[in-house]
Amino acid sequence: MTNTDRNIIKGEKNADAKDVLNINAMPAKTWYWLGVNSSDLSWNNSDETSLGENIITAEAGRKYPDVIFSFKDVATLYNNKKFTINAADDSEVCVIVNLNTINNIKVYYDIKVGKNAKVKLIELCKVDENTFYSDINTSCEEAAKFELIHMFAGKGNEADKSKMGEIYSNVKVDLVGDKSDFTYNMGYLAQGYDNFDYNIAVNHIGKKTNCDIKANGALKENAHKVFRGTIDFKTGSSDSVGAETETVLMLGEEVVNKTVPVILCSEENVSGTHGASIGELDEETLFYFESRGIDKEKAENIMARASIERLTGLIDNEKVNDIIEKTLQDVLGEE
Amino acid sequence: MEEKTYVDDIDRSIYDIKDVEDDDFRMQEGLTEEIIKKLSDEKDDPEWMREFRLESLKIYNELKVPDWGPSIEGLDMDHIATYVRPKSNMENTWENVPQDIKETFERLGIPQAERKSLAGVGAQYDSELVYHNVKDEVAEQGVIYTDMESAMKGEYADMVKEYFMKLVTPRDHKFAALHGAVWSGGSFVYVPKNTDVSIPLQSYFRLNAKGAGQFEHTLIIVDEGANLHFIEGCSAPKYNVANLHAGCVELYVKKNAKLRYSTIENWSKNMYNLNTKRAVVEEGGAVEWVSGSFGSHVGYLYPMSVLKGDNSRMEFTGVTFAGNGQNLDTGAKVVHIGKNTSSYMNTRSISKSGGISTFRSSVVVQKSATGAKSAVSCESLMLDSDSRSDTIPAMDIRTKDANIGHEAKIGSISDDAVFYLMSRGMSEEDARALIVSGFADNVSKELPLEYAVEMNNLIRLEMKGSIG
Repeated sequence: MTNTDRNIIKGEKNADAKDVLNINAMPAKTWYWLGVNSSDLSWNNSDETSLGENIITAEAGRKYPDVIFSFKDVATLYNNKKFTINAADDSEVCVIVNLNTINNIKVYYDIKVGKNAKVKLIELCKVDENTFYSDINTSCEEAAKFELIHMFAGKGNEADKSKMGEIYSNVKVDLVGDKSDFTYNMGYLAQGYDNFDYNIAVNHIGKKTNCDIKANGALKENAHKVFRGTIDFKTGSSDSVGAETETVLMLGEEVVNKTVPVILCSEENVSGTHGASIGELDEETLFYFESRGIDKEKAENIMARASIERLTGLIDNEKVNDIIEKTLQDVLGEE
Repeated sequence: MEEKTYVDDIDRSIYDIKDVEDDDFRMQEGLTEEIIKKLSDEKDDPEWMREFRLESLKIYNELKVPDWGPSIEGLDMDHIATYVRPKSNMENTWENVPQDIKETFERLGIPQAERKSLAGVGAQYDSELVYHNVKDEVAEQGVIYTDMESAMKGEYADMVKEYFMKLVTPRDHKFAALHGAVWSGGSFVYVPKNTDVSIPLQSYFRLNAKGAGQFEHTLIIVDEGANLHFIEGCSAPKYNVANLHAGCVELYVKKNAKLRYSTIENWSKNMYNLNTKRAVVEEGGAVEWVSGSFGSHVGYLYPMSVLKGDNSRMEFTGVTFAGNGQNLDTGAKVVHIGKNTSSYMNTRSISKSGGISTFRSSVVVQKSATGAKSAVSCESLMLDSDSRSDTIPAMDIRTKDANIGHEAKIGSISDDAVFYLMSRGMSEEDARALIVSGFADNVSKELPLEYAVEMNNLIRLEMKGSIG
């Protein structure tokens, strides 16, 4: 799939003379007035620089050390990058992509996970006043395992709306082979006028497939977030299980949270669940902190930090966990 | 091979009896300005209503058909008669209702229910009310229960003008505009302050005419501190051409008032049910929706509650049963505006024999709605893999001082539960039947006993096992 196949480019340019890409479309639409069916991304296609493509190939039966890609000093304003990961049967590979640039970048992934293979992708992204768009397209064969970890951190600018950070993330996973498995953990923190926009769609196609989606995050100040999560049990995906949970900590007076957890089902013998919990710190947790001399503001920061910090428990790589800790220090300004 | 259980379709024999069409007046099919003017003449509308209808038609022509729900391609407005007047005036005793129409309602059990358990009944046949009556003791409380046309022209004309389609405006969506243009029939209810109507009122809508539409308008105002339970029922015989129902329900629940609105919808499977229901609830008020959706070929139905006043609340309890040839898109919407408001949605969907059931909801918590609490729970049961069951909830939360929970489950009948019941001596068929019936009891337990029995009859689930 080429990069341009993946987005619908609307004909007209917007008020800033930029292209408008229609992205993050939900597999099933709902009422338009909710503003969640898809999103528009303002981009400048003509000035876009390609940062090339990395192809990661894991040979059959081999286990590889972690591969890390870091993007810190991207020179041009609009950039795109592509990763292709081909994991042959029984192979195992972990790819880490760390994006910490002040410019705008689109990153596309095409991932194929062979029989009994394991692919772990960790994408770490911090935005300041820039825009980041990630589009991940994965296909899993029999008994393949795909694990995705996303850290999205916004530095936030509370004073100036024009300096908001934006993160758009589109994840599509096809569990084609029987017993294939997808685990997703996302942690995020949006501050200032940050705008985070997520779309995850998991297609259960093979039998006895499994997916587990967990999204935890915190919204501070004027942050805006949309989470769309779709579990789609296709006909024939019998004995499959899909679960999706989202926890949103609302910490700002002006925050906006939109959550759309969708289950589509055309197979009888499956189990699909989703749950969402949205609100500020509950009284019990607050009481716990206060009884230990920690005031509300500090308690909220601790919990916001925890939304992302929990990811380090899922990552067996000290260097990556250091990146997460440093990012947290940077965006929250404290230990 | 695994033993397979089949669940029969709802037995519709009572509902499918067709009366011979002997209309007093049938509007030509289609939707034009001339037809709207003719309808307005037939209804002897006041001038404001005539203008309202024509403006609604304009809006209808401007708005697009929704593309996010089930297909309504089979609905051709050029072949729908928007107004069919039966050969009967509105009566207040069943004896005066023409025999054939009276027999229809007797088969549906309406006069019997009125005698046993209702405070008042309105019965609409095609586009007009043929019977309307309210018990003396309820009328003596000052409760007004009458047909919309009488209310619009009589003592309550100003009240109707003040409230009519102010909550659901014609701009709301295409079929709200259609309703504004061609509405006829329906009920007007006013419950005075601090009046407790202890037994329910009921309106029953019967569409007998082939290729016709029914567009009744229900307007209920429950004044401060008052309490009402209103029951709505509907059915139609099945034809091989499309019929349309685009009714509108507007409920005004004033300060500290309470309204329960129960519906058992059993339209025939050629019906496009594009109904709009909405309530606005003021301080300390409560609206409770109880909804059973069993009929229709295509259904779009999402009762909406606007929790405007502080401490107002809503509950929605619903069950949807989609069988062969049905695509039922149902759910609820709530908007929290006042402080310390609460909402609770609890729904069940059952899909079988190729039926498609979609639960769709929205919970919107505005910035002003501090202290809001909302919980949504939806469960879907798939009885075979020819069917489809989708869950599309959405939440839009704009205050941090809110507590929002959501949970959903889709699955099939648990083998463990069947095994447990069989180990207690039940046959597999009985065990599965019990589980399916129990799955839908969130609605039946909320209805008055007589209606719970009717609902259970509606989902008379005949289970039979077969090997292979």
